[in-house]
Amino acid sequence: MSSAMLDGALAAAQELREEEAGAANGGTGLGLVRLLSVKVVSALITLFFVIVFNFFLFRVLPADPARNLVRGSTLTASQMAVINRTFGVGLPLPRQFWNYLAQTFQGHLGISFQFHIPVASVIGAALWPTILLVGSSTVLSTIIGVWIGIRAGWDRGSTFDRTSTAICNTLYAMPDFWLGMVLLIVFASKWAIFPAGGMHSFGGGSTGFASVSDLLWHLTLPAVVLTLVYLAEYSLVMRSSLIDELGSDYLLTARAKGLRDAMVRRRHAVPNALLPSITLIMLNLGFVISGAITTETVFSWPGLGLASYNALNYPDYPVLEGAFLLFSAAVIAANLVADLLLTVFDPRVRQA
Amino acid sequence: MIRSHSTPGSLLTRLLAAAVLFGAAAAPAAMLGGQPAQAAKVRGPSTFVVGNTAAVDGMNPYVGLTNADFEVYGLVYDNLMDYGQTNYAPSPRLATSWSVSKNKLVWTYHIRHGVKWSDGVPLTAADVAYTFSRDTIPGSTEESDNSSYVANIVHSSVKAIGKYTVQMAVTKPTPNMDLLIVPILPKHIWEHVSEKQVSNFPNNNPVGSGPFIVTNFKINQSVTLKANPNYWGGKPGISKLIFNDFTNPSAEAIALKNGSIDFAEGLTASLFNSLRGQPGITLDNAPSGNWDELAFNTGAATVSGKPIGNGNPVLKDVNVRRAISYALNREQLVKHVFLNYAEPATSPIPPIYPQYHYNPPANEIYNYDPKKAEAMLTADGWKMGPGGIRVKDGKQLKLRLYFGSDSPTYTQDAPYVKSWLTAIGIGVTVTGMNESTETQDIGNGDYDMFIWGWGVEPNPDFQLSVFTCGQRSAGSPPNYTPGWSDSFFCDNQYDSLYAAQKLVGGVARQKIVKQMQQILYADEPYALLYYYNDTQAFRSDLFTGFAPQPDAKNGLMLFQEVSWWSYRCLRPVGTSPALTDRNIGCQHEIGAPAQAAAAASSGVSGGMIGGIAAAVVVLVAGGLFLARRRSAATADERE
Amino acid sequence: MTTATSVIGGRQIAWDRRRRALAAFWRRYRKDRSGMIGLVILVVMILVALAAPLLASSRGLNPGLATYPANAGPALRYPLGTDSDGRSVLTELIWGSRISLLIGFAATFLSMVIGAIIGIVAGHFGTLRNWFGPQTDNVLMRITDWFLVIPFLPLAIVLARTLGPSLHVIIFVIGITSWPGTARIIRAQALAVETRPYLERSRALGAGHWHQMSKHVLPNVMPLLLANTILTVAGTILSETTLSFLGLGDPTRASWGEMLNAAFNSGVGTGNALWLVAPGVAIILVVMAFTLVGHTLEAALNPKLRER
Repeated sequence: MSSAMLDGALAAAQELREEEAGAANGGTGLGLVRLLSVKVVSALITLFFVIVFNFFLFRVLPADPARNLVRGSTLTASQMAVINRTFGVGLPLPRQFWNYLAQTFQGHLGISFQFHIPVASVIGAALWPTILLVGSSTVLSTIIGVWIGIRAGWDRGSTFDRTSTAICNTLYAMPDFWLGMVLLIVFASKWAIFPAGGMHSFGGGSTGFASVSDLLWHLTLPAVVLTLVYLAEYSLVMRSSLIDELGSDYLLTARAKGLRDAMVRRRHAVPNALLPSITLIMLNLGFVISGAITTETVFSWPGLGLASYNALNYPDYPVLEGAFLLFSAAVIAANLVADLLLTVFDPRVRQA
Repeated sequence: MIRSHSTPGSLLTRLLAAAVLFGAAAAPAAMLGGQPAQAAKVRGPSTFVVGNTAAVDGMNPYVGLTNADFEVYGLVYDNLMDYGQTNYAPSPRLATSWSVSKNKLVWTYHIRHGVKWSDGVPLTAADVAYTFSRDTIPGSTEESDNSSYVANIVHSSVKAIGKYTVQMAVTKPTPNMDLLIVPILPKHIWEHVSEKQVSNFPNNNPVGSGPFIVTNFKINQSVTLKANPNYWGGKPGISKLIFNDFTNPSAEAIALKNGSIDFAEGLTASLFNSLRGQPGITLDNAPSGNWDELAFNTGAATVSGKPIGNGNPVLKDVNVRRAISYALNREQLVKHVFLNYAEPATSPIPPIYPQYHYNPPANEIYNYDPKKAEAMLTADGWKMGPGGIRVKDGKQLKLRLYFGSDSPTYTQDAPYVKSWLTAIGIGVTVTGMNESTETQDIGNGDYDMFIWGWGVEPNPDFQLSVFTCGQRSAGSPPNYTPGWSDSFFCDNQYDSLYAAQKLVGGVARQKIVKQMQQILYADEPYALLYYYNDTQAFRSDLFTGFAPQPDAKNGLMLFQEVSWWSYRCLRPVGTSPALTDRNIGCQHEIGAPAQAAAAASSGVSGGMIGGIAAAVVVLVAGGLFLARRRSAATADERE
Repeated sequence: MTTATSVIGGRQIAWDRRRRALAAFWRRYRKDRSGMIGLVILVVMILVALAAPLLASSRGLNPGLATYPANAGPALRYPLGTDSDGRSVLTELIWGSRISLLIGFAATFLSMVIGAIIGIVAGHFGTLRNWFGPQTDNVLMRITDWFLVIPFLPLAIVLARTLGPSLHVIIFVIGITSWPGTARIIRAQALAVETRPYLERSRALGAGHWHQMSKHVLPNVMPLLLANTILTVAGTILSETTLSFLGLGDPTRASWGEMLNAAFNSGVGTGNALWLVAPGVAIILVVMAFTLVGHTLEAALNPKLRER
């Protein structure tokens, strides 16, 4: 995820809020409720766009999805017919599009080429591991990143600031799978402290504490990779928004009034600076899920990323298509949640 | 204000505490892991874990494609016969004996008595007859999946005679009816799965008669099987068998080293080397039936002989193909790409099947000889032209080279081939593509050369069929339906020999098969590059009783050529051979002593480091927590 | 005569002003230590890429001609050791910088062109006081927002898978998936530029949309576009690495990403560790350099950010 893109997303969110805050201020008391429903509807429209886009990406671009599979796999004529039926190959495009929409809205994402089961089952099985990995690393990277950002931003130019900024800049520039491989060599091979991959050890303690700690043991390396890579971004953003905040007039006033440093930081600077950072983290959350493709591949972590990687190599178009839909939906959902939270928390909207 | 005014300081403190907890929870696990002996203890001594690099797709034997799939099917289901462990000769499995009528057109099989399906239903001739009837319905998924075994069987002739005899007729004499590697399915389950449903039938809880029973299948993760206590050959020596998918062969090698798996296949040559000398691990570098080739477009055409595609006509000239073959430094590929775990290749039936392998006379082998290659091209009229590219009749000698970029091996091979051909004055454009695009381009004849490979079964029939005229593309433009032929080699004498080898067995067949390869070698539609070995490694400190195929010195331990010998005879070190061992008749590996003692010493330090690291995590987190508290306190005091 | 002189005089003044502005900008830029470090790294990297044929013979990339031992550690003739084909890792690294930077710049250029056009058009028409203008802006920004929610990696994977592995495809795929952020930022800047008096004047004088956008809006968003470009290059280089790791790059062009991919495929933790470490470090350095330079540029151009 390039930073320019996130900047753009951030700008978009910010601008939208300002416009809407203005509208709400000028409007009646219904403001907030109306605003929220507008946001939900617009998210649904975006989702619809993604579904349409998906159709073109998977059904129109590849010349003939079924034929793509003929040699690598020994598909028979009847299997070809099944795939062609699933994809509606041979029908006129509008007709295909209509069938696709009808199926998607009924939740039929097709049958996996590789596993011969519904795509929804393939994705469903991979959902929980991804949520666990992305969730834990998001929580950790948020806490640590925000904490570093606050400390660095507050004591700008200090040794801590310079060191942490240098480290974060390095981490931010690091390909996550490369970091994963290096950690794998050091912590799984050279010193065999952590497992080389997967989510569970086989057999033995599958109950209670033993199974939980086994899971955490497997989770550690992939979660550390994602945490390190994302905490860099979060701390850099937190740092600069705190610095912005420190330059603002009200803070100078607060200090001039003789409020002590820690108080100023806690009561005023940090809460205000947190807003853009949390927005960024929320916006990023949707992307982190798909960004875990490489990390999950390195650590054989059986989540959506690994499922997509395997689908890519097979190639299992229905699974890729389903995963793509889900990844996009995750971004839309994360955006919506970020937007709703900010709408509720933004003082300008509150006053309406 | 709706915005909460709780100070971020206190929030941070709480969240940091959570981080400390996270570290603490992970710590005992970290201390637990780390050493092979303990890792093995955690999963139980008779649980055998196989790491596989190709994922298991599913439990339905009609639709699986990967070698891991076939590994599982052969353990869940029995075939009528097995390829013999030491000689690939027919060996009884579900069929105890068989015979053929005088006119060689009717085969009779005697089915083993007292065999039960894993759900307790007795297995009878009716099940076998049902399976073969199902597999011979013309045009069905079932038929195409088993076509190399059932192609000549007359569908209506398959019948059960009594409880333990099955009879079927064939359209013409078919010697390989004595080696039917077709999974026998329970009629009482599969008769409820219609032909339409079969390609999407998950078969999640397969009922089989094989030595193992599937208990759990997690896609993209693992398959867990337990020993079948009622197996007709006796209960296997391991109680649990797990296939663990790895997308990353490096991780697989590390897992073996750490003892979290017991067997690794598909290792790269450098990973294989990195395991050398590791305590408790035995390496097995066994020749397999696999090879890769540089294939030529010898004149693409459809089955009806209509020329298709835009292949460079230069490659129709056998002299050019032979010259190219002389320019290939196969030794260098073997040395660099396979670190010598391979050997230069000649003809398509590999030397692990010595009875069928054609070994060309020394003076005919395409040994690396760029001078000879250049001389051949010059004699053929290709004179060196500007830019170091040869010219004939005003046309430059330029060829396209395709390879599947999904394969690290082909990716590594391609620049070598380009380099050698450039050296003899052939311009080469190299393009990596995904396999589906490549398949279509080849099917359409839109290519000059490509690098790809085959795995050859003990029965050479299929591999030889690839070079017959009937396997050229079919259909119509723009996209032809590719057959199995990708060199478009077509030779009448070869085709008639192919038909002839189907009708005879024994030495007569071997002679024909070799003669066919001789034709191929002279015409060189493929320049075979190398026969590569299967590099496998396993924990010999924990398990013993492998049954290598075809022999102890050069044998594959697991992932054998359409065979499943070791699984039935494996056992933990220190236990006595299981009943299956004698009943199946496994021939064991020679040597491979248990090395349990060596493993422990390295493991302890691993565990200690694990503990230390966990402690560091807790300390650092705790330190951060305290630092945070203190800085807050001093700030307050400063006031 | 007089007219001509005054024109030249006017140009001279404008030129002087630009030179002074540039000098002032450079003084501001120079003060930022991290920006300078980034710039130095960048200049060195670009020089290495340009001078690759002088630094190492391209014959060293040809595995058929390789004479060094495979997977060897560092030695005098191959200071970073060799890969599994017996080629010097340093040679590959030097030549790889060309491909990596080429992909980075080309993909960014594509993304900037798309982003700038959409951003400027939306910003320009957004300020018009008729029905058509704001609607155009609205539609363009809706589309941009839609593309913003499509996760980059899966989209790039699907496109690269469908179109096949080649240098052009990877440039196209990265370029086509990374423009929406730029469009957003440029639009915001264009909106600000549109309110300036000289644009009002130009409009009053009857200048067409094309004239206004190309002669007034574009030059004014240019500095921001430049900073954004530099930042985007960092992202595109990382993207190339990721796509190559997933096997979607062009394996016949040895970029740093392809080097990593080859090292992974051969098996990590075996042989020459520098084969894995060196391209990784090169990627980190170059991405970091682009990020530092981009941020410093941004700060030097934007007084509001200067305090960071």
